[in-house]
Amino acid sequence: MLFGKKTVSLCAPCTGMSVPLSEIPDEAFAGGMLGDGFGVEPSEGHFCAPVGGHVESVAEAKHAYTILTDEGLDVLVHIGVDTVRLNGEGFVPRVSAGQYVKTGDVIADADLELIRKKGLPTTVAVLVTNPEKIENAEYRHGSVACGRDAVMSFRLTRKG
Amino acid sequence: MKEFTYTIEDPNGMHARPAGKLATYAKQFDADIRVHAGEKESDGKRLLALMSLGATCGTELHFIISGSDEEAACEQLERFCRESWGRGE
Repeated sequence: MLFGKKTVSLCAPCTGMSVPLSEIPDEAFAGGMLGDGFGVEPSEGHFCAPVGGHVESVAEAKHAYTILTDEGLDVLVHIGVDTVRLNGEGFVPRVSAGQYVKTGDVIADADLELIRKKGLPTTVAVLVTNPEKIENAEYRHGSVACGRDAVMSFRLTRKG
Repeated sequence: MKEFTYTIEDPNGMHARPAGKLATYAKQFDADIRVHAGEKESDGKRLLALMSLGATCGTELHFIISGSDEEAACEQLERFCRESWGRGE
């Protein structure tokens, strides 16, 4: 039985430097309360899907995108810290809820300069918010290219 | 089945952090926890599902709880919502 042995990867949602979750300047992300994943300090304001699946929602404030993969993983891409406060200013969604995306498909553009001017960190968080479905996660941190470099790889558990 | 309603006080609505806190809290119960907002309905234990409700400040959430520990789940969830969830993060 190969079931439960499948390896899944999440790739960089933008070009920049990937960092461990614990280095994201927000306790809810850093503490792992919202799930397992990683951060990327973006050097460019183009964002893509780190994994393929259905776009489940685009936040009202356009800063957070959720993707439900075919394997049942819940993946959150959250651009910047506390950026919900910008109420959409500086963000341009390129997808809408219900759409199917492939790894690397563009999901949003963001004005990084504007986010910084508002005094907010631009760090992007990529999280699996149902981490009980994954195990043996491995990370590869450093310089990453949008939609091309895998940052986190793991196996699916039998749960769910 | 037990139920209660709670109106969102967080000025930013049901964004990632509050949805995560609520889902994490809800997961400790065995009971099935459904959260309704207007016409939409979601699994109260799933962060993504809660976010997809698109609930903004002032939205009334209707919690419907059913299962073996529904009594405790309803009471504790309601207290969680009113006392710690939407306030001073």
